[in-house]
Amino acid sequence: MFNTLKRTLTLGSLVFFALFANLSVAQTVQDADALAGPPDLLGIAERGKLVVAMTSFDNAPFYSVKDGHLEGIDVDLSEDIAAALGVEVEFDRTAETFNDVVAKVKNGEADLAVSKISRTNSRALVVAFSNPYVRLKNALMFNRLSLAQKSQGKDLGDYVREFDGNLGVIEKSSFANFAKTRFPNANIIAFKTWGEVVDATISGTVDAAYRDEFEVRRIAEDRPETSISLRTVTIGDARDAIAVAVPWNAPRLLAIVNQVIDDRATELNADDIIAMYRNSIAVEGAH
Amino acid sequence: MMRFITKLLSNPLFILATLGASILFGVKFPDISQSLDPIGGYYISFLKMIVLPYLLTTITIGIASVAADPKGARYTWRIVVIYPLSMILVAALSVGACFLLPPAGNTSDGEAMAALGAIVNKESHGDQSANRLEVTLSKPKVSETQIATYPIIDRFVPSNVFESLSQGDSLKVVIFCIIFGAALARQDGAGSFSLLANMKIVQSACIEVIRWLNLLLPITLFAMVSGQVSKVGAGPLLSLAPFVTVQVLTACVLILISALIIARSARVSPIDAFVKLRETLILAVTTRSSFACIPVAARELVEKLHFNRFGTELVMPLGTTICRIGHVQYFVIGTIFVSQMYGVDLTLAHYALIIITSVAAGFASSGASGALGVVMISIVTDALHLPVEAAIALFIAVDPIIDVFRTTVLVYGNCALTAIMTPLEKDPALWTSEAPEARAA
Repeated sequence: MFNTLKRTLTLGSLVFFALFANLSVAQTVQDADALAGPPDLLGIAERGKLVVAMTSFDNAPFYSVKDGHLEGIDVDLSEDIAAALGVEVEFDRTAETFNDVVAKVKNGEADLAVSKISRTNSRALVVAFSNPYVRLKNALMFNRLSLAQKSQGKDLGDYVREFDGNLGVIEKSSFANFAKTRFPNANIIAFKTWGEVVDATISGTVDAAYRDEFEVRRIAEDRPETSISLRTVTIGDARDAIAVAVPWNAPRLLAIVNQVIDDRATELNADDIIAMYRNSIAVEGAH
Repeated sequence: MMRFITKLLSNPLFILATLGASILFGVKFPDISQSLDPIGGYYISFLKMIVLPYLLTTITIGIASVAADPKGARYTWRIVVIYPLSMILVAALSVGACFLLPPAGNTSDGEAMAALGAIVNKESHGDQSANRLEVTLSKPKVSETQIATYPIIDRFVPSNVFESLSQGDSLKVVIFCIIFGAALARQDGAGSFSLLANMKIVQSACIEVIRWLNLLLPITLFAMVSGQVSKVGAGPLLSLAPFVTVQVLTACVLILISALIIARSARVSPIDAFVKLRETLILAVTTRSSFACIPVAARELVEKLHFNRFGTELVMPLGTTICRIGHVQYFVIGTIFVSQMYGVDLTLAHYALIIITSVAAGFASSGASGALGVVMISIVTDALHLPVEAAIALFIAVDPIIDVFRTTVLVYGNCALTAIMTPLEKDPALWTSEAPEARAA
């Protein structure tokens, strides 16, 4: 009910809703015409739709196709942003990698990228990032056997801080960069895919894999046998911020995205996301 | 009427029937059985309540008598030699059992490993120990310097006997009793004699309370066994079938050996070695608390198998506290299971290390019952640098079953050790656990 009202109010108007919520509909439309709208929102308004880039592969519970339609945390957020703008949302799922998704925003092929994108310094050079809508702790996934043999009863915290073994990461990922600064003594080994990193950790080729808490814990959900050979250690003081990528020259769009994120009362943590992931898997399995 | 009820309640056939019924009930109605479980817990609490004063008086009296008696020294020697030797033998036998039947089964079977992983995920759901741990990259700000301690030795050194008593730390209580009893024997005069005489009265009052509680056993037995049965899922049992089989079969072999030793020492048939200790056995199976079994075992050894009371009341409590053969067996097989699960090849030196550290962990496990005893396996696996957190989650999933055998081996095995160390009592007037002073009066 409220959503419909909001949509009606802002229909045809490009000026964001909150400032004018206390004015009458007619007045809002009139004012919007007077301002002619901020240039970064005009294109979207003329098209009548918000183009959101996502990777071509699914990434439950952030975005995945279920029963023929797309759903997830990122899908909900994109729809909320589009509703705030008073337009429809259209998903562009042609990008193969996370970097390609960011490139789409940078090149103007998409209005936003909402695709479980990590906020990194190198990406921030080419696009603007919203406030994070999910924060995930970093996590290491150790091969239990090599952990027991190399830590030799040492305090696990000390062992992790001084970690000097082989550390597996996905090549050119945000974590490949974090690894160098956070584990300066480690021998960092990059793999093409996360699956290869996990396999190398199980076989003991690397002593540990490095990524965010959700991805690390998801392994135990997908492949229960790995709970025997792998052990998760989350890092309390290293966080990965998941944010929306916005073109660098779209300050009003960025403000609206931030406002939508801020207005959401709930902040998701890894436990919530794992629970949502478990749900989406369970439902898929039932079909 | 009262006498009939008392007789019925202590009839072995009645107890066996109750046992059978409760297992069936536990399988059929797991929900009701779960809700009955606290009743068993109260019963065990009552037993434990009386065992601590019993232990305190019995061991102090025993040690004071040994120290005062010139012939008593032979007990000291037997204890010092036989306890470590029997634990090493049990450990060696358990290693042998693992050679015959690999406890980890076929670890290359992906489906079996997935089932085990699922148990670990379930058991450790929401807790930090087995699957997840959080550390910080920045150094914690703790500046307090801690004095390094040796965790195993910590468990042997009592700093405050009243604290140990109030926490039910039986190992520390026993160590205090040994020291105190020895000192008491060196005190001259009638005063120390009358203190000992008073302690004997306390002891026989404790035995009386235990006798009362024993009458309630069949009633609580139903609640305890059905509750226990309902806790074990068939899934974990099947996934860990090789491990459970090795543990159970090894326990059965040890129980059989113990029966033969008891039969030989007491000059009764092997069947009688079970029948005459039936209350002890039933209590071990139902309560899974070795501690709670001590007084009943000592009474049955004296009253039914006619072992010397003085020796029995010294050796049985001491052995059950210190000579933890059930746990030694468990730790050895558990550690070999872990090494096989992770594909670590063990050398002869490794096996020697497993045997030695399992005996040490056995000592350290005294007073720790149930899951706490299982966790002590980390003393052994840490020495071998094997990862144990995932395995502990697996062990706890099947422990309701294995705990029964572990406790029975511990209690019944110590009955056998008592039988080896204690002579038979020739005077039929002494085949009783009444206080001698009470009789004299």
